[in-house]
Amino acid sequence: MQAAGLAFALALPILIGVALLAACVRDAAQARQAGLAPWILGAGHVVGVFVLTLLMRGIAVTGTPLDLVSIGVPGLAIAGALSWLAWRRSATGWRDAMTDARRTLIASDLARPARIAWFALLAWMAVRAGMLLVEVGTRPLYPWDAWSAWATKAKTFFALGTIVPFVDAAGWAAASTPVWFDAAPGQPVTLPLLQAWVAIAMGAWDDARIGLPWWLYFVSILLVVYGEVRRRGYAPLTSLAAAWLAGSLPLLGTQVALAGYADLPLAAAFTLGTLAGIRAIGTRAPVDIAAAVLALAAVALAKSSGWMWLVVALPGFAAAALGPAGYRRIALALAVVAIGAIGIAARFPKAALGQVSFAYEPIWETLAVDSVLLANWHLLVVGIVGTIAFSWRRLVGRDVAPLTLVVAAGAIWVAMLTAFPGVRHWGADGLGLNRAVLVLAPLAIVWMVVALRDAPEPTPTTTTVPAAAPEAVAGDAPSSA
Amino acid sequence: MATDGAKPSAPPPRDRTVTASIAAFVIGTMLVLAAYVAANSGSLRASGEPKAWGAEKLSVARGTGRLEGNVLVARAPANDVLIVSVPTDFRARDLSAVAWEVVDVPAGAAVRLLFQSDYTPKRVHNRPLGVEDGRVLPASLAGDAEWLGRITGLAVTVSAPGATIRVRGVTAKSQSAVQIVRDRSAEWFKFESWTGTSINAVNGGAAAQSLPLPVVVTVAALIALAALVAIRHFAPARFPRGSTSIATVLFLIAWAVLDARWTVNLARQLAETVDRYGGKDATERSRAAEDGDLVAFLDKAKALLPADPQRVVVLAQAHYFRGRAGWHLLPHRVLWEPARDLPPQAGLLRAGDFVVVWQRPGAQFDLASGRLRFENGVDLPAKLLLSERDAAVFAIL
Repeated sequence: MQAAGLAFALALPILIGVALLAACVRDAAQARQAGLAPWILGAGHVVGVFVLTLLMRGIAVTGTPLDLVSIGVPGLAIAGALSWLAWRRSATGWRDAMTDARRTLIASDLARPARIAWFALLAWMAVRAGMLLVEVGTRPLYPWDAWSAWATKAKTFFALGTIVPFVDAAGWAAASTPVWFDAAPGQPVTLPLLQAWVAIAMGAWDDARIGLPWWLYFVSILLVVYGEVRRRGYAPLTSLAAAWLAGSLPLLGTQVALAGYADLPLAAAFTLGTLAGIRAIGTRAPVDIAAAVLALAAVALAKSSGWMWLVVALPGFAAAALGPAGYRRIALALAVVAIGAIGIAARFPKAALGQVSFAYEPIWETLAVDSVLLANWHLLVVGIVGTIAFSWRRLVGRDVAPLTLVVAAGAIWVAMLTAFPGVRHWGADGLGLNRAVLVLAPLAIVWMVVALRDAPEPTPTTTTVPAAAPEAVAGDAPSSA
Repeated sequence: MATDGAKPSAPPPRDRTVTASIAAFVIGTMLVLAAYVAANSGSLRASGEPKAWGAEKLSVARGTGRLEGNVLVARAPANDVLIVSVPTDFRARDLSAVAWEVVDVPAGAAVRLLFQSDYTPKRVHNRPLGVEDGRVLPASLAGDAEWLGRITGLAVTVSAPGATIRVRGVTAKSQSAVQIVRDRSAEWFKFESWTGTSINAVNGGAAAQSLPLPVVVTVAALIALAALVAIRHFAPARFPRGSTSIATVLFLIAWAVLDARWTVNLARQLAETVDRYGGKDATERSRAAEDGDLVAFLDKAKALLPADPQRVVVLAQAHYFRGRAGWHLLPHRVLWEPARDLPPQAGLLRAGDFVVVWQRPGAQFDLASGRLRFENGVDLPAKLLLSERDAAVFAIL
């Protein structure tokens, strides 16, 4: 019974999210777009979790107890209605997309070396995903903040069947009505509500199983990265390589195995929201607009520092909206912000807002060690440097520039957190410099792969073989999924 | 198919980008390791087997120490250096690297290696030792003018008055090329299990490493890239996709090597997790966790509390246990101090509240008068509900 409840708990957000996004697809032709189906599948979890937790907030506001029926029935109704709408609009398109997805999965169009690479990457990712699934489903909630700042709320909401207030120690001592305390009472309740939903559907609190949605966020990131690169015209093998790069980042895997922090869901929502937002500005496609709006709202409501990541995404959206004419102005604005921050810090070395100090006490060495010498990010920094070196002209190309500006803004934000460690008490939580990098890392992978496409390459004069487009690396042929 | 009269064109040369990249990367890795061995005065000749002395063989010449399992916990004197020593007997030229396994060295503390040999029996030589992240780094004495004869004693000194450090032992090793590479790979593949800091950083093997693997694969990939770009200049038809593709393939190879290491570590962690928690239900898993004793005690405590959420204040010396007790007692309205171990302030506790104490001196209960007193003078009427060794539950009256 608990297993069935667990399966339902994990499936419902995906059903809602996938149905919602699929219903936004205009027609069969759009449904057939290469990469859209896996993209929607990945985005569905991020979007669906957000919608489900909104629903739970609404139910709690009405005074109705949070239980399997009060959440499950409207959740299923929403998913059912939207699925019907999606199917009615583009049934043939979805059938074709699924056929193409099957064909892509078995790599029937690929030459032998590319096929070997395809199945090797798939196997590698399957092994990683399998190991993480067993780890997260077996180990009780482990990392510190997970049981002192996040799941505290979930456990209480589950036990009481409603959302109750959490306050700090002073508020607890002074309260005349029931209030609860944890280490971070001001954090949003989105993720605790998700954990509470898993427990509600299971009918019991289980320290390990409530972490399983984190594994689904991991799968979401893989699918969104694959789907995004594919939608940008890359071949399936290259898109899969991008997903593999994102999915093999050790700290990302660690955040799955040691589930319970908000950084991984934040990374998934930020990656989806930024990619969908940049695309939506250009295409005005309802599916991209819906994904962008809901994912960016999820960014703001996943964690109190989430809104800062919306600021990081803004230069990319501005670049997508203004086009090449605006790139220089946006880059200039970013430089002004960075220089302004340094200037203010130099002029007011003791500036502080409450607990938040703006003192310049850089920890560059920590950042360098964490990024280059330790195993957190494999060779992400090398990849970023290599991308700039090999594809610097492409970085300001129309399709890459928005991503370049988001990555640059994210890098400035990480640099500010490094230069002014006191800011982390306000913009991000205490110790986690690497956790800030985590939010940016999947997007940086997409940027690297996209920027390396069509990298300027002087064709050797003596060769008789024309330089192949990167999407034909190792002989793979494009298909639609 | 060739048309009539036309000469059949030769098939294009086979694209060697991938195979050549793999080969060049392997060669690049070997070159990096060879350069590292050379820089560390490694020799190709076989030398003696490593000799290791565990904590039980060590003695504290200055300071105090006690053995906890296989670790010597040593405390430096208030106004002097700490010295931990061990008598030895090996030929200096056979084993020229010394690795003290010392952790928890305070930041800024000066650490030195002392050694004595039968060549200069009346002198004690000393050399500075590096410290990284609180750990003492291995030292190479190859080529040292005083590392001669038979080494009759080794010691480590730590200048950190009053500090407590942990010593697992000391190992003397050869500086052969094989030994150096074996030591580095042992660091890369040292099992890194989950800790409280794992959520923030992944070391990639041992906490302190002389040559991190990402450096090796990056330099190897750069060497391979330079070599292949040069080769491509002379045989461009073999690399039709250009230098960007070569760089991309090398990047993927290097990434795969690092990820293979991480996968191995994850597999070992998974085995440990399954061994500890596999096949258990939620309750059994809680009992099997690090704070299983606390869980068992709090299960009894919860049975004594009313079912409705109550105000409960948790006191414990270690903030881990304060937080964990708060977690296990939910959905009661639990207050615990996240950062410091403080007694409850006057006015915080009121009639109807409960107090859970876990491994914390400072709270005293007078059974005769029924008063609960704290070290800050707060004195309240209370009833003892549950008491076990180092733990109790009180109801404030």
